[in-house]
Amino acid sequence: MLTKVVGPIVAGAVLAGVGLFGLVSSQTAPPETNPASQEIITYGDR
Amino acid sequence: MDPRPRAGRLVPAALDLWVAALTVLLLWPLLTEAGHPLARDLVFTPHQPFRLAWLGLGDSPARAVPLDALVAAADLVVGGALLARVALVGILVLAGCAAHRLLRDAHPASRAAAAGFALWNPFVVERLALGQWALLAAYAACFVVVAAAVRLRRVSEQGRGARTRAAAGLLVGAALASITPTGAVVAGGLAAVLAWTRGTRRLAVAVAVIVQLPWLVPALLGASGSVGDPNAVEAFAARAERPGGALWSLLGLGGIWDSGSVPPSRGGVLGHVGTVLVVGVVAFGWPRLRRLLPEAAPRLAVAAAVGLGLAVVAAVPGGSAGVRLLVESVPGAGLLRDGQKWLLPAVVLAVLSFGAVTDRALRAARTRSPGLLATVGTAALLLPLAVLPDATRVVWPTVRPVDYPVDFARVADVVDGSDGSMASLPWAPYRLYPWGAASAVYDPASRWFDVDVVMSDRLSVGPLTLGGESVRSATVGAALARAGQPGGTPAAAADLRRLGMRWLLVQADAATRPALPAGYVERFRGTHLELYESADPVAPQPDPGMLRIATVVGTDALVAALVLVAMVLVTRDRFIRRRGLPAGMLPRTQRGS
Repeated sequence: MLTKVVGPIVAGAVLAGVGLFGLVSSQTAPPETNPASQEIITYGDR
Repeated sequence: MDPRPRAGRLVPAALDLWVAALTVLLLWPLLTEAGHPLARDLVFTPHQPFRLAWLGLGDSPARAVPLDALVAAADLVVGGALLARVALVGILVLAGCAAHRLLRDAHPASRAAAAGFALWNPFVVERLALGQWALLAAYAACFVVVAAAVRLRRVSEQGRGARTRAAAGLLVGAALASITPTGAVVAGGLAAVLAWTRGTRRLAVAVAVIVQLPWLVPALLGASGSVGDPNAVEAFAARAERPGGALWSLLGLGGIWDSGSVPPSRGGVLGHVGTVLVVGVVAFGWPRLRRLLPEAAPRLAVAAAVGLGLAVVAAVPGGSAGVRLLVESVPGAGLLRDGQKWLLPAVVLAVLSFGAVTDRALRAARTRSPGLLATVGTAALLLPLAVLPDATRVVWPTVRPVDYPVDFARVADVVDGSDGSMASLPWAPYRLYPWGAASAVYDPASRWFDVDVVMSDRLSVGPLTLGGESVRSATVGAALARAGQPGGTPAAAADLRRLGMRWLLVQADAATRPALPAGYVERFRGTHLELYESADPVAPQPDPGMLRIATVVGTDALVAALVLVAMVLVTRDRFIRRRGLPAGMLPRTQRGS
């Protein structure tokens, strides 16, 4: 019972929880400032 | 009627569904919002016009050959908005589905784990965040190349017909990867290495050579033979995402040069966990992977090691100097400058190893404690998401589509099909639009307007501005710069007319307004775009020459015809095998076997 039912449920819940937390927190970051005011536009940054 | 038992069909379908679910999650904004993706290098327009430069006949290195030509052709049929969705979804689905099909003999849960990891790993996420979907197409096609190479080796002792059909599959896979030169080099190399045996080496080499032709022929003809700026080697070298150096990040399948494409979690503990995980699965999965893919695993490991070496070489002092020397002295060696992309075979190996190590764990669980099967399976399935939980943070802003302002269509109404060239101002290759994504985007002008568009090709990476590779772009840029100097305007206008610059497009969203030369009159003024036309006729520009055009177009047509024939052979072969047709309808080589 412990390994067949409870184990998968706990493992699934923990992993799904971490994934969902990451997903939600990543999409609720503060908005960027208007970037068009930059004079030199870079392709990227190291 | 499919002859396979019902369970044999349900398992791949369920695995495909898992791949589809992850694809939808990763591309959610693109699939739920209208418009065209326009961020970083991910640039789609309603109808990309065709021009000879898309075939490598411009004066810049053929970095997106024949990708842009294929996009222009596809846009004629489906339009850029649909094409973007079909392409991005198709690439991710292909990667996941091809990965789990390669592990056909493994436990379904381990196949699902591999399929998920094929989509949800740092390499895919970082490249998707940078908008480099063509490189991801090459990555997805590499799984097909591995499968086709295995098939070719398995029929190496059979008749010519069987070998030709298997080689056709290899050509289709390698061609799919070869929409850019990088993809062609990686897929061609993989095809030759994996499929090389006594009976198949000629076919393997032929496939590897055929897929290079679309970019190699225009490069050899000198259409784009300039050398690159050696400073690009440092700018685009693999980067350490966290303490431990670039190699440590590369071993975790990350290490892209651009920090903005890296999910924040890669800089912390989860990044280290990711590297340990990848190194661990490759080490512990190796014995099982050798049993699952005996023909491919050892050679794939060699290819992965070579790729890892190429990826890290520019990030170490001695190697960096060597790559710099190559880039500044050998035309086309600029291809080497972006180090992390060469990790491609290593990512394929890591994905398959993840499936193999999961299969090993599931076998151990079944023997020692059957109750743990579901736990191990679930953990393996969700582990890639747990180790990289913020993947969507960097991917969603790039794939979120935008609506182009109507100004673009208005300018297109004026310039499309006209003679002369257009310069896109301010003189920079990347733009920031207040109506678009928060990140810089490659100027979409050349993919919007059906006229020869000349743009700056001087990339800025952080504080470093790199030298461009197009002589024409540099000349036009110098003339435009003179237009901004006191007393230089009339001379600059004359230079621009001599260079064929009939149109000047000013993108008015920019923070700075470029100085315009005299002699150009306003033809359109909108909120976001302004268009000016030379009051005097401009000089016609020399074309690449009929011989060069005929050679390149002829080569491309030949390669396209070979790939089409290969597709027909592969489809016919699959149809016959699926339907279990009677021997009389089988190809001559399969009868009686």
